Amino acid sequence: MKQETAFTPAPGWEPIKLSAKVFGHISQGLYRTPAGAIKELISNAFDADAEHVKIHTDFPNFGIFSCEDNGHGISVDDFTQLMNRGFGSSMKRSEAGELTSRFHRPLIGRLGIGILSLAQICNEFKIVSHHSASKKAFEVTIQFPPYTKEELDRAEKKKGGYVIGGAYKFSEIPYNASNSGVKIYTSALRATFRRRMQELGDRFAKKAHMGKNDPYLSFEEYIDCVYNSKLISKSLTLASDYDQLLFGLALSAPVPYFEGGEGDVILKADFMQQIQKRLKGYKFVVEVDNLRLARPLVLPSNREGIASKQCRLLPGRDHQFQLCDGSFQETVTINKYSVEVDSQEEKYALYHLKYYNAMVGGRPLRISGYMFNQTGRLYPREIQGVLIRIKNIAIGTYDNSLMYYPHAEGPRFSMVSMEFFIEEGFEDALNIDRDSFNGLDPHYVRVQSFVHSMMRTIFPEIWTEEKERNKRRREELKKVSQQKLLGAINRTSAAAPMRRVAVNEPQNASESDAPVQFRKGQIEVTSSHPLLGPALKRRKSRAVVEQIAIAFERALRESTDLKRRQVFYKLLSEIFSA
Amino acid sequence: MHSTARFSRWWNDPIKHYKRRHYWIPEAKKLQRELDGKRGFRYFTLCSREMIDVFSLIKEGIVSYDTALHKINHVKFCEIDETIFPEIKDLVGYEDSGFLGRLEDIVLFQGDSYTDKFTSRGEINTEIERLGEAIPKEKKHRLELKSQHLSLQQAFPFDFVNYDFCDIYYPNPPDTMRINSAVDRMVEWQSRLGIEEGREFFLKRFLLAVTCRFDDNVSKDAYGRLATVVAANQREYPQYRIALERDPVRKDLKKWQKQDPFDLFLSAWPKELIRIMEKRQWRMEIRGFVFYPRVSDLGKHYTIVSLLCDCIRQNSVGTHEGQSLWLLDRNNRDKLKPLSRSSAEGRPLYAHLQAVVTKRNAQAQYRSRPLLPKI
Repeated sequence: MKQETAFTPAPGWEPIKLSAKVFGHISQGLYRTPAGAIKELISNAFDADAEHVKIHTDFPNFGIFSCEDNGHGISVDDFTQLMNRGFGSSMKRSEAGELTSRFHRPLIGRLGIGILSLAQICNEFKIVSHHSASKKAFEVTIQFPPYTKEELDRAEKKKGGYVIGGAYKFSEIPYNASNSGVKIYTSALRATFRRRMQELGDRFAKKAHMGKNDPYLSFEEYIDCVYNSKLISKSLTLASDYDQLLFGLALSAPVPYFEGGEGDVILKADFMQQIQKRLKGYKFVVEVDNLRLARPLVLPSNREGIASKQCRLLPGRDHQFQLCDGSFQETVTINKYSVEVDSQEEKYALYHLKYYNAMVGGRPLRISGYMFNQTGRLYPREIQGVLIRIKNIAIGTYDNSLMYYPHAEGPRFSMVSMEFFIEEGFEDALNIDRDSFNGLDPHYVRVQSFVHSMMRTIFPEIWTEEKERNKRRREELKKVSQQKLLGAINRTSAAAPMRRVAVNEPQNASESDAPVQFRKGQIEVTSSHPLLGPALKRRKSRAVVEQIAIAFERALRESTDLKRRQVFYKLLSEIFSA
Repeated sequence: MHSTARFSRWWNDPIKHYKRRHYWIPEAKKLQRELDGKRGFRYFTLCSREMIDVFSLIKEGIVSYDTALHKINHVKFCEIDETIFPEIKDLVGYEDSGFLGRLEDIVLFQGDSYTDKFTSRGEINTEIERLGEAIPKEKKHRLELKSQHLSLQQAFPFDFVNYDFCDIYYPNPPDTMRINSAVDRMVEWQSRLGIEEGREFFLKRFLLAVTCRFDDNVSKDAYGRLATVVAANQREYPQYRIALERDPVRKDLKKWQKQDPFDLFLSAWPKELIRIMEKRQWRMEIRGFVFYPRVSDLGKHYTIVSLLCDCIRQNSVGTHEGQSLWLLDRNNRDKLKPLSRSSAEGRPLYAHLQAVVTKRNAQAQYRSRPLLPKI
């Protein structure tokens, strides 16, 4: 095959041969975010049976990056092959059911592109590998120079050809068994990456929440800052790129769920505990800047501050829906666990999702997962929607369109968080960046149909619960503002205090009667009064109109115009104060 | 989790630990008591991955260790090896605790008309980004070095600066005074305003330990420099001149250099530091002046020299004649000898070192880093 040179290695350096397609992907930026690029290294370490991955970003300078794992390393032969037309050329994936030898982890699978993901954030890096099986070690420096558009266009024209996309300098070093694994170091980080990371300022979650600029002391502190900062908790897009990087890596990595802080209600379910146990059983620890990553989910997560410890999971019961995928239909049974909230009338729900079909697009598809919904928006926004994991690795981020759900459900979209764990299938659904899906793949379409069909039955339930919740809230707010007004009225006079407001509907109220009566300890409002009644018709403004009427009638009882005005405006300012 | 480098050859050297235990630690303890709990003890080191100095100070309660978070407070380090750098950072526990590179390069960064335009790390990075991926390597290196220089400067001051670089103090020309200049710059930075948890402070006192190496590779220029120091002392201090004239070897500088170059070095070299302190308005008192022999992997003999200086803030500094005479007195230098593990002095020393190693290994275990072997 013909080679097209985009770059000429210096003396002493060997060329890296890439397929034109891969060359283009890398040059144009394969990953949407730095987390997308770095997670490849974590996946490689997982597959290599590493117990630890340690990443250092050099916060807050971000001038040096390192990623070290203690897996079984890369062999000299594998590396040489990668450098010589091996990247992305075979598109090899792991076979279904293939497990790692030591910790029996489901192999995430290699496209032979993982290491090159680093090219997105730096243009030179060093790899040191001690390979336990062959007892050989090597050190290599890899360079990826900047590419011009002309070079990219030329390379693209050579379909099926290879290009010289970089250079490497290789040397074998003495093998040291205690150093088994792959270590990557670079201080040639791209300026844009550094700048974006360095821009902390007020967007740094720790600064926003605690007023401090120093590094996070623990992952728990990080979670506390992200979930409880007034500003950042709305959405991570308001947080610094560093915070987003941490969140992205913690979300995507095959690590257990976060168990600190207030806890997570989904972990109260048996099926989730089994998943947690399985994840812990992989014995895989990922640390970034000395923070031990965990899946950064805290559910429930809302503005009311309701925490997991206030939630009680009721026994599960079956919930059925009709899955419609084009003309294909199937009855699916999932489990619903209602979630009761202590001393509140809130009701949340946790669903255990399962699906298997032996023939979807000619291949079996097996998925499991969960769906959690609460009343009230989930914060931050980044945990709203659907997240799909393949072999424990998150693909992309949460899709808050619920895979392009075709109906308008307003704020209810923001109350749902679900994860799917693909156990079998999806081999061809994944795009080369391993961060997104081919939307026409049959397996993807089937899961999409699952979500849409399921949500068509669940959204109405959420809607009902939300209506009732809003009603409860309105009544609560009404009670509070009524109490406030009563307090204000009682302060205007030395007479016996008013304790409650009662709304009556007598049949024959006339205009000459006062629509508001002040009786012993009680203010009575005649809602059918011919003068007041019409103003009370609009449900949204009813409570305020009632209060203004009370204020007006109270003011009328004063002896002079001045006093009437004084009382009325004073009560008005109470009604409209915060 | 393992780093690529092996442990350094002298990490468990009992003589080195003797120096720490009997010279550094007592003085550091005194200084720490003076802080009176108002702030943490701040330590700067060139420790390698073994970090015995750091854990010695932790064991003695001088450097603060957070047992809940497993982090070492107020310690910063510089390390030249990128494969060791993340390991030390792991053991310290703070991501912003380290500086990668050669300390002298970072400290002595000299601006030029181009780099002087950028006064902050943000401005430097904006410039690097502006120039794009095709930025000349040298330009990028200069800009990044400046960025590191600014960061390191902002980390000062420290209560204890441990400049344990174990190399020749006067390198071969053209950079014979490079190490000295680096010390000068760091002492200058010691006058900076410090901020800790929002509270400002200035140092009134600090410790400086400088450990270097002496062998027969010391250059002609270096001896020329030492001769200059001696000559200056002779001019300034009559008693000093008399003391030299009374000694049959020392009275002739060339003879002194030929017959006892080590003595010349020990007599004159510390004056470099005294001069720096004087210039920067510190009074320097020597709390420890030790040396001990070593043999390199290639069988070459050399000597490690270590000076512990107590530096006290003073607006005006008087004569140094007393110190110059003190340096001439061979009795004021301690030659550290090998200690047997079973001797009366050796047993507690080895036990102390083992305790330090145990503490260090506990941290390494927690951080999944290589453990040091038993002493």
